[in-house]
Amino acid sequence: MKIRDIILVLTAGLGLALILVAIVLLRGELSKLETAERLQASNAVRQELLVASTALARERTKTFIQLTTSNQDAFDADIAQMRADADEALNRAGTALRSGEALLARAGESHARIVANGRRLTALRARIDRAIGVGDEGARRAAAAAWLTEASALIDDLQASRLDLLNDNRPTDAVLAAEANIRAYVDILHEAIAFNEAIGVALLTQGNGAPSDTLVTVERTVGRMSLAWQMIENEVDTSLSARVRAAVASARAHYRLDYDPLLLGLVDAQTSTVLGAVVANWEATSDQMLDALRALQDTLIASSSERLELLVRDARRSAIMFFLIAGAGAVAAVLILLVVRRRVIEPIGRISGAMVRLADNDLSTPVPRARRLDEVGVMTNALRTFKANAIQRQRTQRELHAVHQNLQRTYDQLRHDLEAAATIQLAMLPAPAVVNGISHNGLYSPSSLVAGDTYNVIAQPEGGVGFFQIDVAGHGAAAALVSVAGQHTLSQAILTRRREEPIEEILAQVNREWPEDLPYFTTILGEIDTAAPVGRIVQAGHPSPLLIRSSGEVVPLGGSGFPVGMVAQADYESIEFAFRTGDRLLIYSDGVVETENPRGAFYSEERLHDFVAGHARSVTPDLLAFLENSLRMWRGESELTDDVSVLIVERTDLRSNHVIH
Amino acid sequence: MLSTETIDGVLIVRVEERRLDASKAPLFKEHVSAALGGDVNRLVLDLGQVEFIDSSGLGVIVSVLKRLGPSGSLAIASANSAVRRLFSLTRMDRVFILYDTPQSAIENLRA
Repeated sequence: MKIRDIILVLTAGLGLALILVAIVLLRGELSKLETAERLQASNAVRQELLVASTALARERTKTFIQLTTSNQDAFDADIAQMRADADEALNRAGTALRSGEALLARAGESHARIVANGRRLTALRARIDRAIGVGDEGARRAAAAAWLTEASALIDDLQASRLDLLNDNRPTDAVLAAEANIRAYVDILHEAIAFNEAIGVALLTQGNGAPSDTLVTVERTVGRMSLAWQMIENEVDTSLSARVRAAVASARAHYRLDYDPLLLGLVDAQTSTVLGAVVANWEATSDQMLDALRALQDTLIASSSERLELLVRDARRSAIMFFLIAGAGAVAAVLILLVVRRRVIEPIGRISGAMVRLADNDLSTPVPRARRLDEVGVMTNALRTFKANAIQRQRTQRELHAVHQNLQRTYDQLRHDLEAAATIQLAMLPAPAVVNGISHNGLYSPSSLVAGDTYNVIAQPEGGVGFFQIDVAGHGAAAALVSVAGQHTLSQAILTRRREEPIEEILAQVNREWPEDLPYFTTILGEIDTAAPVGRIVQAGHPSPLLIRSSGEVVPLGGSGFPVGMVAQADYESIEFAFRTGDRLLIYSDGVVETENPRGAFYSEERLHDFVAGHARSVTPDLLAFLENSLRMWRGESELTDDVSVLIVERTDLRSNHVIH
Repeated sequence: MLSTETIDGVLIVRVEERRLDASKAPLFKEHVSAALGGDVNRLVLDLGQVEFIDSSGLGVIVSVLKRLGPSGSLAIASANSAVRRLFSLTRMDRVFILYDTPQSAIENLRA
């Protein structure tokens, strides 16, 4: 997974989580708002139902009292007004239920019941309208009793509807719950007092003739009222508003001070003679009590409505707030995504792309210019530096390559020159041959391409064979050039030698004339007399050559002598030795005896002497081959550190002898 | 490569190499030239540690002698048998005097 994907997923996840949390909270708030609105609707409907049941209770009680106490053959205008009020209240309650159907589960059902109850009420009114016209006392009382029962049933039904609505949507808020309960108890109280008013009038006007169950009913109602007050007082505590508490206390005081004493006196007042005044007082007190209760209801309703209004407003505000938070979260998530993409993901993508191409050595890759001071800017700058360094490195490499090629060319040229020089130097060495009865053969191994060693064998114009071996101090090109000079000088000296001039004189002269700033050289300069069985050598710092007699005897010749070019005044002397047919003279450079084995030990003069003695019977080419092999074996893997050369001259034929014999 | 010491106006050059051959000779020459400096003209070359000298090494020693000039003198001390053999082969034992110890060389040069 790429970093950009990780960042995108994390950012998007974070944004989504934020939005989800906000949505969950918003849903909670919306649900709270819906609950509050439902409570509000329920409250409004219950308020209308309360108004309707109150109006109906009033109509019922007053209608009953008029039926019971009046001799008129029709109801007076008060009753007509009460009926109109009740109808209007019922209509309003019906309308409220209908509009609350969307929110309240049982609103439809309650509405149907109200409509049915309206029809029943109309039928009941028609029945008592007929009964009041009859004028018969007994029939009127019977109709009044029936009215009271039927109308009370309707009121109970309205109360039941209200309680259903309340039970369906019981507020969780403690104050609202308490107020709803108080309202229900006050309603019960109101109905009980209204009912009692009717019953009380019946009790007073019938005197002792009243049925005993009426009294029982009154007493039961009184019990209900006490219970209702008890329940109301249980609900009242400090959480309720002062206004509500004051209204409850006021109604309670009214009940205790005015209504309750009158109620207690009602039973005793049955025998009283001033009946008209008592009834009027009862009615008035009851109505005042009812008014007080209605005032209490109004206060409660107003308090609940205000509180619900507050709750709805709070819920609405919270919902709007959380909606805004969810929106802000979404906007923030999108913004974060955009910023991260623009400030992190895209620059990193560009940098990584450029890095990959640079790593592939594509130095033409453009690296974006850093306009920022953050990590991305640092990375971009580092990448630009890297690219600049890479370009510089590439240029340096190219230059180095060019220098290297130049060096290689120069080296090739030099090597070519050296190889040419080596070829020339090799060509200057005499090939194995027989000159005036003297055969010669050689071994030649430069330590590099060219050598400071050289030798030559020359037939002298005056007879005899001259030869020499030269070893210039040092080795390599300088020594090789000097060796060429030395070879030329000695060769010319031999070729231009005067007849009587001894070879030691030749060497002394070369030594005198040898330039001081050139390296010195050691040499064996010699001659073989072709007319006599003798040879002569001059030794100049060179190792003593080995004379190999035809008998196999090996004798070193000479001992010492100044090298050429070291001491200008040096004297040289020659050594003469018998050199018969089959005798050989082996001349070698110090590179032979100074050949080292891998442990650093020299081949040594002693070992050379013994080796030559051991192979003294071998023919010259074999002897040289064996010696070369022996030296190579001795050396092993190590390099030659000095030039190695060997020259063997051998008398194969003594001409003068032939001439003599 | 070498260490020097001056005793009674005689410069003693102690060669601290086992071999004095073509690979060492040029550098050795430089060092000795530096050690010679101004008016030194008596020099003892202590070859006690040297096992082998080749023709290049010999060339350097002769060049040191030439540098000391006709009034100068160069003595060789503590040369081993191989070195002595080279000196005798090239007759350098007739040009330099060989001593067994640096002390004897110094005494003779001083005298």
